Amino acid sequence: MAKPLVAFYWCASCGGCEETVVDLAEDILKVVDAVDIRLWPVALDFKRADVEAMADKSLAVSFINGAIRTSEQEEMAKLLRKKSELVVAFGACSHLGGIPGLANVANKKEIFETAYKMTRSTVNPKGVFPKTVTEIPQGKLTLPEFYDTVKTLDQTIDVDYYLPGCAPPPDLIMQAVTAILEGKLPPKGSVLTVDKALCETCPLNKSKPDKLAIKEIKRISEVIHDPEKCFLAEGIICLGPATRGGCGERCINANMPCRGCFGPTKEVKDMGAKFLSSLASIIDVDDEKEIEKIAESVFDPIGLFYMYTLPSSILRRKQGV
Amino acid sequence: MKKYALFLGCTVPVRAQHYELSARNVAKELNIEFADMKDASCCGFPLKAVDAETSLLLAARNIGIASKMNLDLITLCNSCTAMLSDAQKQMKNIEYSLNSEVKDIKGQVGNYKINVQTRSRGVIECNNCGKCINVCPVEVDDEGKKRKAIYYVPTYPDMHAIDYDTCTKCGECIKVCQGKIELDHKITEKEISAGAVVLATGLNWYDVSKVEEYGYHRLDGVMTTIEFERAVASGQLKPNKVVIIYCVGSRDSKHLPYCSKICCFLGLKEAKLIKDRFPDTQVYIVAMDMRSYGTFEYFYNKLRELGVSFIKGKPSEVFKRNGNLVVRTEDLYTNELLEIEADTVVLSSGFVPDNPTFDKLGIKLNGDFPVLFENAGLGNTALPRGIFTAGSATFPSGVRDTLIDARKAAFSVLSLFKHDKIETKQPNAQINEDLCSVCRMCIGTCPYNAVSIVDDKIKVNEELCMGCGICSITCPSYAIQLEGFNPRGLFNQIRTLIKKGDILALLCRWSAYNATDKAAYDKYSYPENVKIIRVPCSSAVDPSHVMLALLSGAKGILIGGCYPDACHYAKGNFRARAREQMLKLNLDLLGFNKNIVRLEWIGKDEANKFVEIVEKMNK
Repeated sequence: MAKPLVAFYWCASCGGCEETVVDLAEDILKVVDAVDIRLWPVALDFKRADVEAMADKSLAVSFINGAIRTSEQEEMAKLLRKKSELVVAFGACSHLGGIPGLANVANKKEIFETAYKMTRSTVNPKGVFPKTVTEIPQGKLTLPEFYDTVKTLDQTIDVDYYLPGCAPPPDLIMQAVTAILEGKLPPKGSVLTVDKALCETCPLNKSKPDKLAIKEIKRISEVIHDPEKCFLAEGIICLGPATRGGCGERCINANMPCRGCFGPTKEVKDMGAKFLSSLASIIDVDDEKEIEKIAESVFDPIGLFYMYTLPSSILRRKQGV
Repeated sequence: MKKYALFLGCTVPVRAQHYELSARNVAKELNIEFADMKDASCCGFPLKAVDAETSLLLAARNIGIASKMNLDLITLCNSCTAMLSDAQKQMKNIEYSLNSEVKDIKGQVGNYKINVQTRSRGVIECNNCGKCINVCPVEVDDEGKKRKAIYYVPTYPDMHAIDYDTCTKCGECIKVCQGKIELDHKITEKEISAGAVVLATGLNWYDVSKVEEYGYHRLDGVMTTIEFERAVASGQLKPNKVVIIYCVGSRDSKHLPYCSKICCFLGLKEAKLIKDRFPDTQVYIVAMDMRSYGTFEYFYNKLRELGVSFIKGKPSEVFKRNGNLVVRTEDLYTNELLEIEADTVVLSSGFVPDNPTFDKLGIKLNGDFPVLFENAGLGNTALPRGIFTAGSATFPSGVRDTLIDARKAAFSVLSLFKHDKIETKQPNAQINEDLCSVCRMCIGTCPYNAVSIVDDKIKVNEELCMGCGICSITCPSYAIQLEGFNPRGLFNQIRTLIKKGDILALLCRWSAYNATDKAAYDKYSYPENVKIIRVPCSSAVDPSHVMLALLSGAKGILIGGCYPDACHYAKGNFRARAREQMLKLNLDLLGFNKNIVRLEWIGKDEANKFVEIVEKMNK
């Protein structure tokens, strides 16, 4: 029997998701044994034309990481959708928008201004910005179009499953691959991890007092945190209560609070709004002025509450631009 | 020969003397002796239909007379028999646990388990002969008063007791005791099952050392009311000049914001005590106001006649000069600044609730008496349904108020018997265990301590839950939900209701929502693009709902709640404020005017305020 054909593709991402495939270590040999990889730009020399030449639905599964930021990414995502039986959004960026999704607090113009003009390391007196088409004597040069808004994969194409995480942990990848190979798949649209929030399995949950009540909000960099104690109980913001578990508590074990890369739990649409309503609820202060002060002490609210989820939130981006 | 107390009642002596005659003859034949009951009254039966309580009291009184005679009671009238046996049956259901402390109360209405720890008092049976005191070799100095290690305690039950802190267990008392003494100090625990609990635990004095300017603990001669009474009663203190300072810590935003109601009268009592014992002693009462309401005014006037000086003012400080205490105060009657020298200063303080008892029930008082939560006309919704308070556990009360309050509590308990089943009156929060990660965010945020961890799972105590919905919006996984208040349903509602340019008003059902009703009633008009959704509390508004309304094109979102001190759910509006503030930070960065979301306090009759706000938002 022919081995199932598989594609790995990257969109707006950092490359960490590619790295995590390599992190499968010797398990990758099992994967290579079981499947035939037909597209993996980071490692193998297949081109877009090779994919275009395939029959529709001939790929068993495409793992697509990264958010959709440019026209090329959108085209590739649509192409892979056409050619694949299953599409798995691989990692936080394609699942929720991820860190690149935070660009949604700005637009293309602002980003170009900053990246190609304002930064100190840039010298661009003529104000040259990337253009989709550039005429030169030798002919036409083209670049993909840079969109105003970063989108999640499922805002671009139909997605069957989501492998969460920044990046997805190897054990979850292995589980997913095994499930696909064995055909033991959960309902379409499932996030391939547990349903409950991180606190359920967090080793620090035991140290959490029954009643969480905080009177100030601290940043992890401002205090020396006792690695045995729950971050929230100390007033350090940890998104664990609002984030799906299954990540293996990698950050917690490294004495860092959860930042929410696994995304919200099943019923929650807007992770940032949900978590802020939780956090505000444990502020045990009965003075309106004092409450305002505490709220304002939250450093970089969007970057904190929506670190990985801005494009998948209800509003998706900054409005009115 | 058997002896009985003969209860005749009213009918037998008046209309059926032959009953008495024949009974006496029969008794003689049966070798039974009747003893007359001297002060017997009506058995209570004729009153039963009019006033059940009084009739019971009359019956109990008659039974009491017979038991004082150490006799069983015989009655010749069937109505008397019914009434007296009924009363006796009811009295038998009363169980006292004296010298006892409640360790723990668990459960809910209809099923409370109360763990009571009882300490033995050493004297088991006693006829108050007092011989034990004479032979006891241990002298004890009880705050100025000398007594023995075994001593008479004048409160109920009327008998002696051993002071185990000083008793040497020499056993001398046992040798002379006609009753029964046990020298071992036994501590026993028992569990009582009960359907309802009345808290009549009283109150505590405010800690006057917190009012530092009056020098309690720092200056000799400055004492609390209780210490003063004790010192005078023991004969240790014979003051020449006493200043009684009123309202120590009371009606003071730094200490107790309320008036404790009974201390004015207690202070007057103190003054009377001094004047009775030492008529020549000068007594000054310094008070912001003399609140001798009702008949206490007679008492106040009487003390003025006795020469007690009343000064209107609030002393600024108490200090020592030449070995004397000096109270520095204003006198608003004469507009003078005074310095009164005295040898004794009595601090008459306000009162604070007996927190430990309420803590055991998980009722947060936040330093207030439970009465302060009471929402006029709606009953005390801050307390769970099977718990009642009486007397000073509710609020500092005199005897008269305590009796009224205790009766109210008793009738409230009785009213529970009307029901075969207890239905919880509020919609409850419910847990979806498939989603719950036991992150405990809900526990800390519940104003009623209704959420707790039982066997590693989050549980809601239905009795304590008041249905505010704070937890359901707090839960980061929507794993806890209020019956009849489904956040998902609200999403759909907003999605269909809100069109571009609308104003969404999410209004608390206790205040702001009623204001809109009143607006209609008072014929106020407000823009038709204001879309109103009723919520249990301003804290039951989910920031996600606001986000969705903004996505749908709302040009303003009004969250209406109760004023800060008037939240129906204790602290809900503060939670709402915190959420609103954090939400605004995010909206600002997402390109909205911060004021697109407004959390406003709108009282239930403030229709005009509601209309003003929405009109302003509509511009």
